[in-house]
Amino acid sequence: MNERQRMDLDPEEQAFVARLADHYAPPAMTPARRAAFDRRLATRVARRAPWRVAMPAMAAVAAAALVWLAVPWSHGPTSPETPGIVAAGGSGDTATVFAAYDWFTSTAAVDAADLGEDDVLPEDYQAISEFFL
Amino acid sequence: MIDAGVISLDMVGGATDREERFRALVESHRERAVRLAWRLLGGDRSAAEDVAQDAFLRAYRGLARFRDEARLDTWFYRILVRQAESHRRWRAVRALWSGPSEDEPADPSPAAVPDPVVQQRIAVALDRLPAGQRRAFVLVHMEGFTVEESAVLMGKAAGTVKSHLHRALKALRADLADLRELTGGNRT
Repeated sequence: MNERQRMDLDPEEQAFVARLADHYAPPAMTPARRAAFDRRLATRVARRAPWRVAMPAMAAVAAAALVWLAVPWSHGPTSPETPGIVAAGGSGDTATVFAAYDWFTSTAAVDAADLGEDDVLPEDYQAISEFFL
Repeated sequence: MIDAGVISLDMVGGATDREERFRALVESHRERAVRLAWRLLGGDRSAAEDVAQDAFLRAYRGLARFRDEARLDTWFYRILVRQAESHRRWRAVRALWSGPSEDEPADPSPAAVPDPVVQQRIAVALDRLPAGQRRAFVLVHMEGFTVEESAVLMGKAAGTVKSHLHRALKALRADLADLRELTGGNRT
């Protein structure tokens, strides 16, 4: 028993549906068309999905962002002792940013016995430091 | 048959298995997939092939995670039905923007036997049906899926599919009553 009979269609309805299905069908695929279909599909399969291509670039950007956030630029100097250095998130060029980083690491390397923390931080940062520490 | 030399074989660990399964899937279902898409898309041959391709491509990407061979066909046709529906929506949006004249007609190819006029009438009648009724009618009465299979493909209850079928048949018989090619009687 086929589905049309199982659907309790009467003979007239079954005939109507069968004719409809017969009339409403595409022509069979020719071998050439089938081959073209397969070739195109194979090409598309071989091509990597766009998001997969973009993944390494996105990962690199994410890693760079993490490094940027990990480096404590927010302590970056704006004091007169560090002329030409911009604060964190500023729009300075790469050289300026590296100069700021050099300044920070050299400052951090200073012996705490010789130089107190309050001496290192600019005045306007001291209030913030006292609040949080 | 998909050309193994063209398909990417750069993957390791189960890649060959996936390639083999994919080739078998395409070989077994290419014709039916295109035909089903053609019927769901109102007789547009080019769009039907595009949709079938998209469905195969999605299936290929998901094949590594899909292990239930018994349900592979159902899974694939579910993808296809969704792709076809997405394409219809996209086409409707495009028609809204560009005007109805841009809407693609049924395939005018002279090879589209038996009768392009009758095919066009059927396409229009099917297009007038609500989406659920159209899908149910094509899947069950044209493609021969069971009601239960169609319910899975459509993500609906079997009872809903039966209801769609009943209404679709009634509407189509009324709409196409003048076509003696379908009614077996005289054209009124």
